[in-house]
Amino acid sequence: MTHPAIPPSPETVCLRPLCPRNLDEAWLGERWVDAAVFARQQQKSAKDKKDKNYYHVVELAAWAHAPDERGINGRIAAKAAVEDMAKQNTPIDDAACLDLYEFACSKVALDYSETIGLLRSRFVKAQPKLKASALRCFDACLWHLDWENAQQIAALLDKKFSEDRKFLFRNILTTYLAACTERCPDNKKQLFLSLAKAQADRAFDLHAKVNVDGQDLHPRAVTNETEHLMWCELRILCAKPEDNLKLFTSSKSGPLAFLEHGFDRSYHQTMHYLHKSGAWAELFEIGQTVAGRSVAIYQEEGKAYAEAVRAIHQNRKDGEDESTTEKEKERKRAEVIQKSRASLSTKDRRYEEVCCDYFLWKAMVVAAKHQSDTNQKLEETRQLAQTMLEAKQQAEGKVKSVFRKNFHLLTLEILFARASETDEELADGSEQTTRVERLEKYIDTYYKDRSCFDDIKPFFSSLSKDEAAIFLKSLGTSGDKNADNFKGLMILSMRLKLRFLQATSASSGEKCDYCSEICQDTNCTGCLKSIAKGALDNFSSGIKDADLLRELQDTQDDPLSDMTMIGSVCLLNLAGVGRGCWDQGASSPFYETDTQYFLQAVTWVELYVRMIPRNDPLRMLLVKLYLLMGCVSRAKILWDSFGVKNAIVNSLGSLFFDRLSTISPRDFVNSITPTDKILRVFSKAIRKDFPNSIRQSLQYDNYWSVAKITKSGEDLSRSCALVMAVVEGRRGLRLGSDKGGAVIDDEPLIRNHALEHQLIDSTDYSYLPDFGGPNSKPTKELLSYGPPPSHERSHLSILAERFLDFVSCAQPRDYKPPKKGLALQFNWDYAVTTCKQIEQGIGVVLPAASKDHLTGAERWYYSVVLKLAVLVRTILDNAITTRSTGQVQETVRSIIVGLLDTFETQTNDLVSVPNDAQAKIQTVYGAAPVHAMGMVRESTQAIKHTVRYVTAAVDRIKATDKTRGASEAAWLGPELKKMTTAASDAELKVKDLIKQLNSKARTGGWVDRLNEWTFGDRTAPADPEDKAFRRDFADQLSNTIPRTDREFWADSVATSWQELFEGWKKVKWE
Amino acid sequence: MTSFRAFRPDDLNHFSKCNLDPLTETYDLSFYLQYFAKWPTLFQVAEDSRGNIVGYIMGKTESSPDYFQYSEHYLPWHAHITALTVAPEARRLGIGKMLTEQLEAGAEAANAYFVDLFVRKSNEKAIKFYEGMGYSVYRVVKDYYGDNINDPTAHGEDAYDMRKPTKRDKALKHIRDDGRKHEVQPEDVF
Ligand SMILES: CC(C)(COP(=O)(O)OP(=O)(O)OC[C@H]1O[C@@H](n2cnc3c(N)ncnc32)[C@H](O)[C@@H]1OP(=O)(O)O)[C@@H](O)C(=O)NCCC(=O)NCCS
Repeated sequence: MTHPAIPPSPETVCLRPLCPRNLDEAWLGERWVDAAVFARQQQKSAKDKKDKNYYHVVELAAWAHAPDERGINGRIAAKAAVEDMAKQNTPIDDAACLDLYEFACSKVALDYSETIGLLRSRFVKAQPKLKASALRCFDACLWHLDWENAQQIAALLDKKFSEDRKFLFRNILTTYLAACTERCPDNKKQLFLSLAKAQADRAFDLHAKVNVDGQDLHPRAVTNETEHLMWCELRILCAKPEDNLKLFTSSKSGPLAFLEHGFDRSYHQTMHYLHKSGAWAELFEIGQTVAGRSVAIYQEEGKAYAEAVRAIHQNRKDGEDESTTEKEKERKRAEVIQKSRASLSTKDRRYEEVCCDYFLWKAMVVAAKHQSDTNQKLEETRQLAQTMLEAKQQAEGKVKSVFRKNFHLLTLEILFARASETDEELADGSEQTTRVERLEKYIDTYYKDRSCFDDIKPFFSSLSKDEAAIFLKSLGTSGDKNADNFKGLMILSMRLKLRFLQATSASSGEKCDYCSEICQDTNCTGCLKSIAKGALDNFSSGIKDADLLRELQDTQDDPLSDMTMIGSVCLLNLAGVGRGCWDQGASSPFYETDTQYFLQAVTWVELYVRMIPRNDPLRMLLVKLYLLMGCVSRAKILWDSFGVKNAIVNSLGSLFFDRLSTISPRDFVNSITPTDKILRVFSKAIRKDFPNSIRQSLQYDNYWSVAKITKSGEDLSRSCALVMAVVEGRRGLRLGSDKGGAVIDDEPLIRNHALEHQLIDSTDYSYLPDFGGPNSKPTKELLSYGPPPSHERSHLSILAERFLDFVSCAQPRDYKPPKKGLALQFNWDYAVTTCKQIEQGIGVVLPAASKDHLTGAERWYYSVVLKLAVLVRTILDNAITTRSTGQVQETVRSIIVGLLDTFETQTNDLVSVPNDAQAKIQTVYGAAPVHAMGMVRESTQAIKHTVRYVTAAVDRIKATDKTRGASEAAWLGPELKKMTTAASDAELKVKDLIKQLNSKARTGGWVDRLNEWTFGDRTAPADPEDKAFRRDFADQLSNTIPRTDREFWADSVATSWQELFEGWKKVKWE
Repeated sequence: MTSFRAFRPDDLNHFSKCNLDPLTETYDLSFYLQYFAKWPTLFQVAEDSRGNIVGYIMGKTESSPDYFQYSEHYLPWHAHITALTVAPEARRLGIGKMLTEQLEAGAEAANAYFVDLFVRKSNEKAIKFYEGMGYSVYRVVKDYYGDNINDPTAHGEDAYDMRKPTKRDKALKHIRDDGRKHEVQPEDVF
């Protein structure tokens, strides 16, 4: 997968020690013009050619950093000099000059590998003995991820200093990484990979040979783990699978051999390979050996432990230590264990560790399933695990819960694997009961673990309908009748989650597995209501239980939080949040939402978050709910409490900031936008931290870390969150003015992004609840303004920003090129090409993105931008560069008609909220129109800038050819006027809407109004059953939430809306 | 289901379960990468069935720099636990202990004299955890932490420097019984 190249931060360069003081001070003080002048003086006075050249390059570098036009010219000169030297094969004999050239070019877009990187590798080739300079050149290439030249240099160093093993491994590593770069041609790729593999194989063979011969290790032999890892990876990538299988299952180079050396990472790497390759028989056998070996180790430990414990007891019997209390004995036992564990060899520890890893056992189960004697193999696995657990118990006195739990999961895994294979046993129902019994036992033991639901979900889903019914019934009984209220509630919450899973597992028109009703939607509405009611019943009684509440203060496991979560998720589903609204014109996932259910969910969650404030998924759910209903300032307070910063902004930033500029201008009107912080993190990470840690890895000879860091850095540069931060920031800045900051092509983080780069969304949604079945909408989609970030949406947003840059970048008024006509022609050619690229880009992505990746509002906006690009290109190509024909004029007119049609639909959608009572709620809801409002504003800005651009273009023709300019202006003018009028009309409509929303938000009486909407009886009585449910539920919920809390909530919601619309009032339109 | 394995940089995208807990600090990316680059075997994670990281330990091996050589506070070759965290939902299952044991194994393999760490004096749970694993307080570092969670008006909070000897420290030279009585200043510790 290709990734955009993002240049690293420039490295600072110090001048050589003997340079004059004035120059050095100017350089260090970044007084670039002075430095350039002093350097020139030095050049003149220097006698030596080398010195002259050095100061010439210092001058060049200083000018390249100078301010204003001098800097621009300086950079152009530096770039030209470097490109010329690369092309002309000019020899450079001073490594310091290379650093200076690099510094000189640090602010210009330059192909490093083709220029400075190339000069560096040529330098090393010419002077291979200068080790320090060669290493500096190697380091510089690493910094720029220029693997091509780093490889050349590494190969030269390896040749020259072959006794230094680190150069061999650097050579292998860089050869491999050079092969992986996208610029490496296919034929070379294969060559490089084979070369790297051959070198690594040779180093591995030397290691093997030495091992057999018992000689001292050869300096060029693979020795430590990181070298082994590199060798394995190269084999996996380049060697034939049958050869690898042979190698990795042999006793010398397979997982067992690695464990013998204490290399757990190489063990994992080869085990995963065998798993992936489906080498089931071998995998099973290795698993058995590993487990058998660790059983033996544990048993040895166990014996020693038993001896020691006997001695402790003995002492007491002999009266030597009569005062020994139980606690003291415990301490002594712990001491014995500590000692015995501390004396274990690294190898034995590794055996034990990998045996405690679930991967090994799961792999054995999967391997067993692929063998002819599955049941026997499964049973062998179970027995082995059982023996291991017992031996572990003997050795450690107590087995950690995590392993006990893993063991129980394994037995479930085995039981369910067996059952599916043995129809006979199923027939008499005995296995069924065992399955249900085991699941019940599992819940009974692990009900406290938050992962308990995820653990049993796959097993529950494979129960038959009857089994599931028995299971749920029995859970209900054990939950209701449990003497321990806490435990009872935990079990009941588990039962409700499982019911939710069932209620969201059927397809529309199918029967619900639980109640057998036909599902109208992908949800069983009846079940959702009954689950919500069950959750509320338990919650209401729970919060009255003082003992329980006390217990909850110091624990993370919280059945009331679970009840709130499951109940509110049911309400959100009943409300129909996010149900197919993204691609509708109404532009909001809210448009068809049942506001009462929605608000009930919010009040319930708010109540509990306020009662027991902690960072848990409930809090994150509330952030998303408030964002959705336009209470952005409320959401912000909660979001800030999570402290999302630094290394986790890539995975979590989008949860809050995605689409924020279109929702809440208030957050962007300051000169520093909230996304600036995110951009700083990305910039530092990609441009400095990754290159730096690559160097650090090599300093510590951790070759394999380099490959992983490189891959991770590439992924970060393809992150949708990065694009989001840039685009949100620019849109945000435009809210306060009509400019979006610097042009995108000056933003190093994004300027090289092109359509062939696959962008990835790395957002971590795991903090949001997800109990739904395969057909239900995941919560991450349910709770967002639209589809999550995607490759398509990110590229569309970059293309639209490029278009805005293009139409809003004005040629300086005093720009008077010497050959006016020619310069103009260049200008138009460039403009047409740019427009064409944008048009083609959006044209390709938009149709593919429309439904699944965009909100309706976004779709309209990108359609408008596409049509504007077509319009500008058509005008430039046919009416600016040449005289327009009647046909061209017709084409332009029809493009404008289409454009305005799209724009009108976009605007009308926004203001088409009907003016009845129900609509009033939706209007004040705020959320329905705001995001769409933001996108309409973007469209109006794009239209206005385009009109300005075309008008300026016509003016320019007038300046060179008055008559033609006038005639083009005559027919284009009225057309452009239509566009301006449409934009102004839309602007008025939006402003009017903001005014209305603002005044509605500012009217008093919110406490009563929100109370009425949330708990009042306001549904049409179409379905009496539904009406009765609503009334009962609303009454019960309102009785559960104290009046003061409801009032506080209503006030805070109203304030938040007022702040939102206040922010909108501040948006600048001109 | 929990698996234990070496950290990979892309795990940072799955840290939310651990790092949204207020007791767990989220550092700059360079910090994590530095540990991965330099001491990859001392950076281990616990992963759940959905790929979430539910615990991690990050450590290093080092000795005090040469200029400390003649100081009474000089630290010989040892392993240091820089960060240990387990997601709130996965605590008390033995994950913290398993991760710490893995790091200790790394320390043994690197022939260190001891493993040490700093912990807030108020973090009683963590102190109990470490004591249970054989660590003891070696010294108290006054106002080591810039903030004080329990008392915002205080200058800072003291740290316990806790240690556990390894096989190499046969004579148990690097631990002491009355560590809580030994106070040092932040500038004395490396
Ligand atoms: C400290 C921490 C890492 C412990 O992780 P953990 O996985 O929950 O610990 P374990 O389950 O392995 O506990 C092992 C033993 O330590 C002791 N222990 C752990 N947590 C304890 C607590 N909260 N209270 C008392 N003893 C505790 C117990 O003896 C426990 O054994 P037991 O459960 O069989 O009684 C975890 O609580 C955490 O991440 N805390 C927040 C971050 C932090 O404080 N890190 C340490 C800073 S240096």
